[in-house]
Amino acid sequence: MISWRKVWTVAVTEFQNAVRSKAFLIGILLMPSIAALSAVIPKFAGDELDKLERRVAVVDETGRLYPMLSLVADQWNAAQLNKDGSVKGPRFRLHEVKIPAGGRPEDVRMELSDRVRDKEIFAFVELPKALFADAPRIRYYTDSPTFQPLPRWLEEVVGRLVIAERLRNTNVDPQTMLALVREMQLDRLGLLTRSGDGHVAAAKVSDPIRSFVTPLVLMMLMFLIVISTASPLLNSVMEEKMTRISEVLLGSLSPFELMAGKLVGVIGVSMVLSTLYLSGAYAFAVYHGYGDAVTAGQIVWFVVYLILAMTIYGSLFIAIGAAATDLKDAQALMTPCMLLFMAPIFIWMPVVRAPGSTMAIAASLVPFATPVLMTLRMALTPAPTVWQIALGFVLTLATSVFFVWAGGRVFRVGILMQGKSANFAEMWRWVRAG
Amino acid sequence: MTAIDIAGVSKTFGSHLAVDDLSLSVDEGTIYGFIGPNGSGKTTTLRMIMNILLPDRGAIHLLGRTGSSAARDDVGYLPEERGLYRKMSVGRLLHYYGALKGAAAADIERETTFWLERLDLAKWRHHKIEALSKGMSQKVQLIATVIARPRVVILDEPFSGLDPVNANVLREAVLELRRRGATIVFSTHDMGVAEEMCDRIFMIFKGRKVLDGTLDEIQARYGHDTVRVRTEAGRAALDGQPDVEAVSDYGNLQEVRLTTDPQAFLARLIERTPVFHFEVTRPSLHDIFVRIAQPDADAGRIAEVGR
Repeated sequence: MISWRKVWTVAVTEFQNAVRSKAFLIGILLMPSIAALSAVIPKFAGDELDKLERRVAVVDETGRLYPMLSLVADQWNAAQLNKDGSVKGPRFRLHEVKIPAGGRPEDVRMELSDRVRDKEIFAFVELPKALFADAPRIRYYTDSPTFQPLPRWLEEVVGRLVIAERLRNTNVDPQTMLALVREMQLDRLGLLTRSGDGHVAAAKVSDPIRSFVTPLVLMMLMFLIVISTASPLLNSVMEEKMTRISEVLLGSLSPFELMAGKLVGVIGVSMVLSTLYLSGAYAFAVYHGYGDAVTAGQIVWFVVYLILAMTIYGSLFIAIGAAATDLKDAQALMTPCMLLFMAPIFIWMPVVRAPGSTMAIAASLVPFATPVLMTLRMALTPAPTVWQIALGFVLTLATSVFFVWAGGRVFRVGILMQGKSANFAEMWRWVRAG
Repeated sequence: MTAIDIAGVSKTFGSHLAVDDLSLSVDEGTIYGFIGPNGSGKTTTLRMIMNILLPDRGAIHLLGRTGSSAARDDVGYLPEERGLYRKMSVGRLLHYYGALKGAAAADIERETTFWLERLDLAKWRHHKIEALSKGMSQKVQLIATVIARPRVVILDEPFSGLDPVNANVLREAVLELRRRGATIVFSTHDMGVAEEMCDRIFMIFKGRKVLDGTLDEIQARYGHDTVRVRTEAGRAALDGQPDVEAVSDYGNLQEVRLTTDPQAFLARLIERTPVFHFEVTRPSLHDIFVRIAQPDADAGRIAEVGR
């Protein structure tokens, strides 16, 4: 007979131990700080790097494109300056290099390569005569292949200039010509909706914050809350085992009551964390006019999946803590579990690109990944269908029940075992032996 | 009433038979001492009483109840290797352990105050466990064991590793528990403590019961074949004596087990050396323990006393 009063006593103590620790307070502040810094630092660092001026040599074998290219570069550079004269983006300083009469192109390329190596220039580009033929290719030489803005700019601008050159033969005036080849803009819109009274509402412009940032934030919140609150269970169980506290406790309550209490306690901690973070995020969103970015239904499902994920991974970590007899063995046992837990993070990008794909649907129905991936999918469009949400919930619920049952069996045997750590095969034997 | 009733209990770990067909009955209100060499099955027996381990065969009744954790709330258990949460304060820890036994907060508070004062720890109530000395931690551990006023208290090696002052304080605490009516079972390697404190003594050796009774009963079974002597020549005076079976040498005093009449032995001893002290006595528990547990212990003799 389970004494729920004892389960509650353990849960309250575990909860208090967790929230009273300095680590918890630091963790509360640290997690959003890391998230903010990981968003801000690359942007800031990227912007800073992008402000450099890049010197680029152009070998124009067509003999027709460089003057226009240089002109467009000047316009681009002017657009990279703020009103106060400060720089906001990368600037490209072009100069033309000609192949001397009778000279070999290889020699020029070699000389320019050396100049790139000597940091005299950033890159050089060849505009071959064949540019106006059927398979036009620009040749861009650099030792910084990961820098994207310059090759992208060249691709786009030279492409337009080549079209313009072709049109020139049609005697169109140059200004009209540039207007004719002007870049297109694409508006991303959602679908039209019909309200209850039959009124059709116009499609809303898709907003990257709603369509991309919100799902990502919800998914990362789920991931970080589970990892930061469930994994300390491993240490707590190991500490009780090593210091023999577990034997004292087992003199007062059953292993299942102890384990259930620990689980309820950390689920409580995860609820506090999610309430704090979600309220903070909501306040932030409302302030910036995104109060409607997340629906109440999404929040309810977030909490449901958080509880299930905490149950699955909490049971797993408790079982490992009970089976291991030192930290090294525990880490070895944790590695495959962490890979299992991290798997959704490896595939979230393809899921975002095609939320309705077979891969996305299948992956979000794997119970270890369901809490993270279903949370992500529910914030994306098209949203998962009702049967997918229901099936994901049932499978995850069944898995969490199994993990509590199996974890309880491993815990009961492992917690009193000293000496050698168990491996997964032994843990499975304990589960089957009962 | 019987507090603990163990009937035909066996426990095996792999191929090792830890407890073999053990039966034992502990009356309520008594102090029962468990003795036995390391690895003989004491801790396994205590864990089975606590329902932490389940016996392979046999039954254990605790306060009349069996086969469940139902009686656990009425039993306080102090394991051999102690565990306390280092980061918890003394007061909070005692409240936690008391609540796990199902005690009401007000009762826990009253007991906490009583025991902290009794064991001179009142000023440490709000300190964390990690700030306490080893002796203080052991006192806190004992308080945690009895905080819920259990009817049965099981203590595994409660006095080991304590200095004499702290050992005395804990001994007093155990006697206080008995005065309150609790049944106390404790295991010990200190034969002196067992002789002084226990109403009954139980010895387990290689998983089997080899002694069970009052000190008088046990000593009577081993007869009056022992003398304590103090002589000028000391241990050397006993060399080559044909009727000496075994000698326990305590330096200034020797405990001698004889095969003949003590008076005849005394006559021969006086011829060898001046005798300052000669006492015909019963064998000490220590001597009996060593006789049973020494490596060349006679298996037949063990079987005989075990009956």
